Amino acid sequence: MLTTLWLKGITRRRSGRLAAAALGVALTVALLTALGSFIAGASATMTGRAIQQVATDWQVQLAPGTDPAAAAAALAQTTKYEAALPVGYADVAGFVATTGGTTQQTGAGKVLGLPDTYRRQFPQQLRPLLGSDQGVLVMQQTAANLHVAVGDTVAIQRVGQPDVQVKVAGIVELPNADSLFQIVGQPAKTAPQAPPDNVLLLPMSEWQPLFAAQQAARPDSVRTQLHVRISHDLPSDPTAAYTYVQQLANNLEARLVGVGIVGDNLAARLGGVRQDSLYARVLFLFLGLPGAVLAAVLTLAVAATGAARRRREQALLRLRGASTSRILGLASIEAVLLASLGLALGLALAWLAGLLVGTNAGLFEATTWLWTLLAAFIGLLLAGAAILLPAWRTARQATVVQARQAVGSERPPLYQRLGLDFVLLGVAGLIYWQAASSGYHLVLATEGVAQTAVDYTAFLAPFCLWLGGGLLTMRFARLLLLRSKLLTRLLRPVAHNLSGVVAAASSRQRGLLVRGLVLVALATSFAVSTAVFNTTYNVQAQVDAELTNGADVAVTGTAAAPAGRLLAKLAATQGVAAAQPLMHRFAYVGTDLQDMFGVDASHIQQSTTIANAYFGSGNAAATLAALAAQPDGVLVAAETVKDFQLQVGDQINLRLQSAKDQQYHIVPFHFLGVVREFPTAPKDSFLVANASYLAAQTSNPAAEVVLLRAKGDAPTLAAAVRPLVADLPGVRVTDLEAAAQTISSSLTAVDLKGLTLLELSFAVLLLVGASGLVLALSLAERRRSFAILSALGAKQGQIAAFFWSEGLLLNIGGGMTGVLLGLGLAQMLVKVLTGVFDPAPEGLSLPLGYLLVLVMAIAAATIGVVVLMRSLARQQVAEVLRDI
Amino acid sequence: MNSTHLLVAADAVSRQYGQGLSAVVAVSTATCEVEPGARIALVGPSGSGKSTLLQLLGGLDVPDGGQIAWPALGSRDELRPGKVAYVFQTPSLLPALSVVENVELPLLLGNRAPALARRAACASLDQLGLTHLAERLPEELSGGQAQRVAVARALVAKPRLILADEPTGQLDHATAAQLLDSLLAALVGTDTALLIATHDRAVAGRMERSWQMQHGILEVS
Repeated sequence: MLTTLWLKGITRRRSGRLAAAALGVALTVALLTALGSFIAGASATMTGRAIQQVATDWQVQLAPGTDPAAAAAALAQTTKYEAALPVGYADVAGFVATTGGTTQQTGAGKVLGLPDTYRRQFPQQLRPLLGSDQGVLVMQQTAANLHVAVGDTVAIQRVGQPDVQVKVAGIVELPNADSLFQIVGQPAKTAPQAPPDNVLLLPMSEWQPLFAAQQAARPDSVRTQLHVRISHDLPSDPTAAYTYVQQLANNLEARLVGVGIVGDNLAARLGGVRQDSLYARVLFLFLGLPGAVLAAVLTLAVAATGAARRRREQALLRLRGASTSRILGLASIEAVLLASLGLALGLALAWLAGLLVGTNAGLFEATTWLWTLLAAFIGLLLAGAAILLPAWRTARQATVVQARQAVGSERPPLYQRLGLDFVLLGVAGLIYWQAASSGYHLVLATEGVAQTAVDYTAFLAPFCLWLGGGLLTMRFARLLLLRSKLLTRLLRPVAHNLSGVVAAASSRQRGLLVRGLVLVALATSFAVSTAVFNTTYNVQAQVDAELTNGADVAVTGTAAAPAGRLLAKLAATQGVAAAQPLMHRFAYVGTDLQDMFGVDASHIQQSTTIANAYFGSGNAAATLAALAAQPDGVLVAAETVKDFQLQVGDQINLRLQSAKDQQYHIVPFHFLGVVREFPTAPKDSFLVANASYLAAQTSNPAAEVVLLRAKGDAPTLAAAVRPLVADLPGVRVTDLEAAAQTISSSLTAVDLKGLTLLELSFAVLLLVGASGLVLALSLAERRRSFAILSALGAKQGQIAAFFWSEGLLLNIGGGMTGVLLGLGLAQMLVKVLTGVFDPAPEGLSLPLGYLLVLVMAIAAATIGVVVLMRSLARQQVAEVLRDI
Repeated sequence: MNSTHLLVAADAVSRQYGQGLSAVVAVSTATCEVEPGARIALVGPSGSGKSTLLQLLGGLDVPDGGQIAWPALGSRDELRPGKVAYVFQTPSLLPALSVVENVELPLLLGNRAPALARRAACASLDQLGLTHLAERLPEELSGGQAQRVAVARALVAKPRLILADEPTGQLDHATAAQLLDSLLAALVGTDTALLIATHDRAVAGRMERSWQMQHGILEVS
């Protein structure tokens, strides 16, 4: 009976407070559930993309004389597979071609034998450039070396056998030459071998008779590989998928022991993604968990605003003889009600968020149900902590008299006495310093090793900064509220001659105010740090994509058909803001062959972003000006500078290929400075020089690449440009957005938009909750006091002075502290998560629009609450007074 | 008859709470007048409508029917703070303010300068022998002390009319008598009227006259 009465009482009299607390539980549950869903979704996306990028999953190298059909049978016993085709590899002494009255001869090369269905089964291995994609195909570089075109004849110099002649049917590019010509079975960590420069591809039906005799005479020079695409029904997590694929490969090797070894391209690719996947998990936890913690704190704060009333009710129950278990039983009704509402609303919110922002993992999928259960369990704990714990503490520890007291004895809180704020800030600094000294390498996923490691302790740095900053804010807020004279002066513009009374009242309610202020500070700092981090991340992702692609749109031709030929046409295309040619050559630095880029240093910035961070000097404009001023100047990678002990001004002799004789000749340059990154440049060492000097020295003015800056949308411009360059053989048109999707060396490949949108929305909700809800509930709890004020003759404006003073103290004080804390946190997050960025950002990017939304949200919440409370105070005087 | 000197004049005033079957008529067509210096007891059992009538006469609530005027005090908006003061049945001090801050509050609400308000509050406390309690918080006071502070707060602005709603209802006889003594003593020599709602005959006996309230109907003697 009492239970029913209590339940009715709660739903009728405390529905607002119950709903507010349930919203807090719901936000906690929803954020945790959505996080789990995002982590699972992102991992699955990364795995899917990694798999897509592998041209051939396995290359099974068969021992001479092994029947490929027997190997395929062993494969079938190991795992399901979608394709398994034998490919012949034959070493040859070279190729010879006579064209245009001259004869060209290459060095050693390879001739591959491909089954007829190979191109259909493994479409990413070959990219036809000219002629047919069937018959005798020549690799692009080989065709350039031999000066052959479609229809020409090439002589194959077999090992120990007479030469044979074949007619070229087509010219192709081998985009995955590295893996196609890998040395299968090479131990991990040994230096990879460069793919051959000279390659010819024959249909298997032609290859077999041509190399049967060579195979018999020199079995070491002819090999057969089984190229395999296994079933891609793999675990969605890259680490699990990597382990699974590796185990399958081990299993196959065990079956083929002595006759075959597996070149596991799929595991190698998945292994590379593991690090990104771990960073993604870290990123999601870092950005999302504070929100969940904040929602939990908000729930506790909402529940705490009704603590005095609950204490009085408990005192009355005890006066009437209720036992502790009876009191706890009644409190548990409220807790169960709160938990039920919170869980239902939270799961609904998470589901809705998944729908709205496109999470591709549901709440109860195999990869997410554990997160969902964990979130629900935490929701239950939170409801218990908000209601049952204070009830239990009051029932166990307080006497009836103590319980009836609204205001307890004044003593600094335990954290302040222990100096916990300073301790936490010290710990944050220490961990940050430690992470900095190790170069912020948080994630360890060693190549070829199944185990991965994440240094989660580094995450304690921002977490401790957040908590320590929050506690320090509490300390300062308490100090301010104890200085009633200072407070009186601060409040005078709002409260006028009531400022002293308002300050005194605020000072005596400092516990309540300080909690509210810190909550606003924490919510603001969460919103600010998340927004600043996300904006910085997005800006860097854009920089990364631009760096990789070269510009908004890059038109990449070949040495034989350079895109620079169409420069004028491209520059005149509608939607092009600027077009600049970019030479891409190769130069020998000693014995090391490096990419070399030729630019117009005075104008390259018109078509692409050249950031300060790209150069050792840290000043892009000055470095490019210096390059423009010195025609034979060259910018060199730091590694090369170190290897050759270069000083600025030193002469460097590089070897470049001349267009006159196709031979490499020494060309002198002067070292100008260090270059770290450059549009379209590889991650390893490269060189940047003046295009005009390169053209003069190599007798070749061709620019292989044209970089375009778009006036509007990059994909639209790319689509407009493609038909214009369609006649150029082998040309590729790539845009920024497509590049961002395919970059695999960084987290740019992970779509954070969904999480970002969710987080930023939650951050605004939490901020409104912290600034508005806590203020509203705190004021509502004291509506009796405001009714008395009204009865004493306070005008609406005078009562509002109390509301405004409290609202401004909470929200201006908390908001300003939160912004500072948030910027500090963002700076620390960006530093700790340096590994996520490529290249590292030069500074924080501020989302001014979102920050304005935050300010407006706080202002709207404060104004809304004050207006609502003013209205309630006016309407309810007589009703409230009847209760007095 | 010239009624401009009257503090309150109520004519057939009614107030009802709720609607339909659940409607409760708290005050029904009450007619009464309060002159300056009057000492009136409003007597009746609990739930008879005494508090509602006091709220209507003090301008805290608005009647559903009839009219109320305050000829000598002005419009409803001009009554508080200053001209009409209340003393409530239960402790009505603001818990976050000290005793002296509670007492000076009506003056500050009337835009009195803080220093002057503080001086007047101290004088009011002194008048009731409460100076030693000035810096205490309401939670540190006994029930009797809190009510005496509430009386000091009612007196501080020198109102023309004090409406006291069962001010001794939660006090024992001795404390109640002491409180009433303090209140009446403070009003000696002033023309401040006192209308006190009570069901305590001893309290009513110390007033000049009594009004009876029964089921929302007022009988003025």
